[in-house]
Amino acid sequence: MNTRAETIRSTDAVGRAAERADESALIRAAQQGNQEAFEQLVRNYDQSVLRLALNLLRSPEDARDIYQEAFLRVYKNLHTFRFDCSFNTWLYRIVSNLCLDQLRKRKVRKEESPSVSTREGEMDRFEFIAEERAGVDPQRSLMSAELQSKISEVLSSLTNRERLVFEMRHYQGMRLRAIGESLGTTEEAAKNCLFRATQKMRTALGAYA
Amino acid sequence: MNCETVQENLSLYLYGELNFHDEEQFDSHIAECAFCSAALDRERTWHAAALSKSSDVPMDLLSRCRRDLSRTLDALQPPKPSRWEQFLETLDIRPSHWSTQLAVASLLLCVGFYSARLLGRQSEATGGGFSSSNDMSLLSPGPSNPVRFIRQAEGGDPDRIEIGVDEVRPHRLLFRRDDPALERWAIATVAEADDPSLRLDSIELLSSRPCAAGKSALLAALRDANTAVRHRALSALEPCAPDQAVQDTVVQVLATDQCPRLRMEAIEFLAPPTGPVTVRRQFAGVLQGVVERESDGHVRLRCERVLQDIKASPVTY
Ligand SMILES: [Zn+2]
Repeated sequence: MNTRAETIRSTDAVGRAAERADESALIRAAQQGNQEAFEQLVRNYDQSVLRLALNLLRSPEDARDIYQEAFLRVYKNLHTFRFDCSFNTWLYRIVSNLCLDQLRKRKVRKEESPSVSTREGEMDRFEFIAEERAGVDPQRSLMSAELQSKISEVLSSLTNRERLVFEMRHYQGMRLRAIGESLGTTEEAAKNCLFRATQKMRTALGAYA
Repeated sequence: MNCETVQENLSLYLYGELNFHDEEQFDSHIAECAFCSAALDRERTWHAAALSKSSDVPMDLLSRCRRDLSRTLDALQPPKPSRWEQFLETLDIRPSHWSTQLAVASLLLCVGFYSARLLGRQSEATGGGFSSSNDMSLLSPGPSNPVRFIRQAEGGDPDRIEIGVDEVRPHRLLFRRDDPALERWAIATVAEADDPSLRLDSIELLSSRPCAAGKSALLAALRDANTAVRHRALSALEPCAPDQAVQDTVVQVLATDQCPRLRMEAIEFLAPPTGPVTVRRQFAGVLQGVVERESDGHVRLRCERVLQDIKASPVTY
């Protein structure tokens, strides 16, 4: 049943190396107005972008907005991209700014009206997917529900920036240096953020592990 | 490195973010200190647990996002009258030197030749029957359309220049919904596309007429690596529920699929609660087998309910 998945995985590394080599060509073509090249560029990154937005905002509708706005900004500003950082970093600068803005707006909204809807209904699907994954791997399904809810709790207790850095490092696998660049700060500052986030996780989760 | 420093750097170590020197110090401390070594194990455990919390992106959300974006971009596309001038510029040629119209004509002819070749190849593969928007104004110079040669056109006319373009730009094909070629594209995409959201979209296309040739593609999609694809394939097959081959495959799904949610849907599919009891009775044996082997409590319970409903004893059958 997993033949396809395995084939994809085994060719992944090779494919990714080729993608990187092709990427500058793709960006140049997109800069010249080639829409297919732009769409290919989007497809190389959009799953990660959507995952980040979804994990951070925990609302598919908000994540969808971020997706649109981010790639629209990429489209409109691609001609200003000068290859002086990686495209990935440039893209995440846009995405992280949008996510932080959205989280800030929410906070304001919450302070203005305490009865603001949490859009919890929208998360049904999201939770369902998570539950599905638990079913795929027996080890994961053994993970106590208690631990999982504890993780959610700690994640939501992090500050927006800690959360963002943690998502980028833990889930997106970005290097601290790239995270720093994306957030317009230093590697050291990103490291401190990550440091605080992991410390909170350790303190809260150490007992379960 | 002392215990305190090691404890502080557990995560950075696991992320591979320590510098060479620190990592060495860290490694040698861990090798000798059982206390820190245990702490590292705990750190590893919560790292893994937190990872399992991250979800794959829902494929239908992804394809919705892509569709939205594509629509927005299409709306933003400016008219493209200056492509030709840009093209000449990239070749460092000024239009005034040429008889522009003639040159455009020969470019189009030449491009027409290449795209005809491309389309010809695709027609062979699919049996033809589709039309292409084939809009030459979309062809633009760039890495995806490399120029292969520039030469004086045959016939000796100095005003006619021929440019060969290897067009590797993807085509956009336009179909009417009832075009049989559309179904062939969808079937090929369900089987071949690496991108699960494309496989989902293709299933969507096939689901409007699932009892034609698309049925076996949908049956194959029930074994897709992506769970969302399998879900969609199963619901697309609903109109074919009475079909024997379909039922056999869904019974397989119920017995072997890794996703409890899909197994649950397979039960509904085979023994719909609103359908006639005779249909449900037909699967009593299968459901009985599930009750005995099923590891998921919800799935087992659902089977037992159906079995109770058809008054077959869940214990002895
Ligand atoms: Zn120690």
